[in-house]
Amino acid sequence: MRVRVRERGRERAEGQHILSTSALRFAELSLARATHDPAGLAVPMGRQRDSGACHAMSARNKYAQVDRTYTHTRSPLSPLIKPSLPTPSGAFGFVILAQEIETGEHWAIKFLERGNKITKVRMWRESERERVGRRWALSIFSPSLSCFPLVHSTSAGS
Amino acid sequence: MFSPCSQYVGRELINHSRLLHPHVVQFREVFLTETHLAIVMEFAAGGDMFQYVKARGGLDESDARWFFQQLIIGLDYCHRMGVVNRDIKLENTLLDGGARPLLKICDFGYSKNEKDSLPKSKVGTPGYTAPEVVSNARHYDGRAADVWSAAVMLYVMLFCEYPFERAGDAAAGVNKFARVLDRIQRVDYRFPPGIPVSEACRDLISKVLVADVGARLTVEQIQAHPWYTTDLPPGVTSMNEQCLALRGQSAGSQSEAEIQRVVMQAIGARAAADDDVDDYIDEALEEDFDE
Repeated sequence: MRVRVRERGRERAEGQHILSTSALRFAELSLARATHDPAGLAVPMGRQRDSGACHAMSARNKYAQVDRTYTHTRSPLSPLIKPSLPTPSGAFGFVILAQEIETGEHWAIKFLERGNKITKVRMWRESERERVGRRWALSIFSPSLSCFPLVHSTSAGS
Repeated sequence: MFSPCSQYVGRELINHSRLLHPHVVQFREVFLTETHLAIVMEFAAGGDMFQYVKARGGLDESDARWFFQQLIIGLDYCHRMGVVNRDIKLENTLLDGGARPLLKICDFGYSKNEKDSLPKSKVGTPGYTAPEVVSNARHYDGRAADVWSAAVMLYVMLFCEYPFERAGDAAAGVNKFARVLDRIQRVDYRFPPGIPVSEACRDLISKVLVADVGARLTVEQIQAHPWYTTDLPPGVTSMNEQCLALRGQSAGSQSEAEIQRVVMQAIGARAAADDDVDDYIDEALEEDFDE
């Protein structure tokens, strides 16, 4: 028992150490970035070019995919609520674990599908679904764009 | 909200890029592929808190405190930077790969900067949602809602179950969701008798899970609570001051204008038209909630 307590104590001391060094490391890193350290990790890609299109596309060549299956948010809701709502993180796209080719550093890259989506309609639908009394909302809305005029006329008429 | 390649992403990213803190997953840069908008972030090797807590069937009090302290430090920083998270939960807090892991707040998908309009839409995850958010309060204090969610998270860490859900709910069919929301509004929860938790810990949770926002402990008050201050690693209290001193610097390599430009490019040309649509829906929402 004693051993266990000591171990726990040591573990905590180590944890404290991690916390403070991480803060330090972090501050150094931030300062290096702030001063545009040319040898720093974050070579400011964007600042060197003006053409947004060009740089936005070329940045991806910096990274190599390590693990396509890596996801950091998954099945977020309890079994209780899961069937009644889509999982908020389920549809955002996907996350990969990537390695920066030049430095070997690991990064998580979150991919969202391009193209605009009318997210507010969805948000509205979600909030409506939460309000059990408003059944009409569920019957009127479909997630597609085409339902939009209906939103208009209904809310103006009620 | 769900796969939202919209200006919400721009807001999320800009909020995120302002945050430089050991307990916030650091934003790095954003770029485009032919089909996707790609957001490069710090890699947290330890997985998320949900898996961590579930794998252990709940944490003992000192471990839960270790994570809760970090969560509060991270939240305090975000709030002082003017960013509310609005979706604090185990699944949105990641861990680094250390033996005694560091917690990192991760998802800013719903976050709202104070300079943007006041939080008024119902976002967040049901089990973690604060009563004033459930009850459609016109404008609620996003910080107080975050604190509520943090306390729910502490509860789940300790007891490995959600405070406002019951075993029998599953049988309730379509009403189960409403039941949870109803309990949240009545602040109907109890501490499971089988799991011993100190009086100070119960005291803290019960002072945060309070429906009256004015009576709910604030982040500052939590930081003064005896349960919180126990075993607080030295130097932590001054850490946020150091981080706040870096205010104005971007966590990533891109300026806010560049981030916005990449996002706009990802959205495509329809973005401007959809702004109007958003305004329209906002109005419609407000009218609707007034009924």
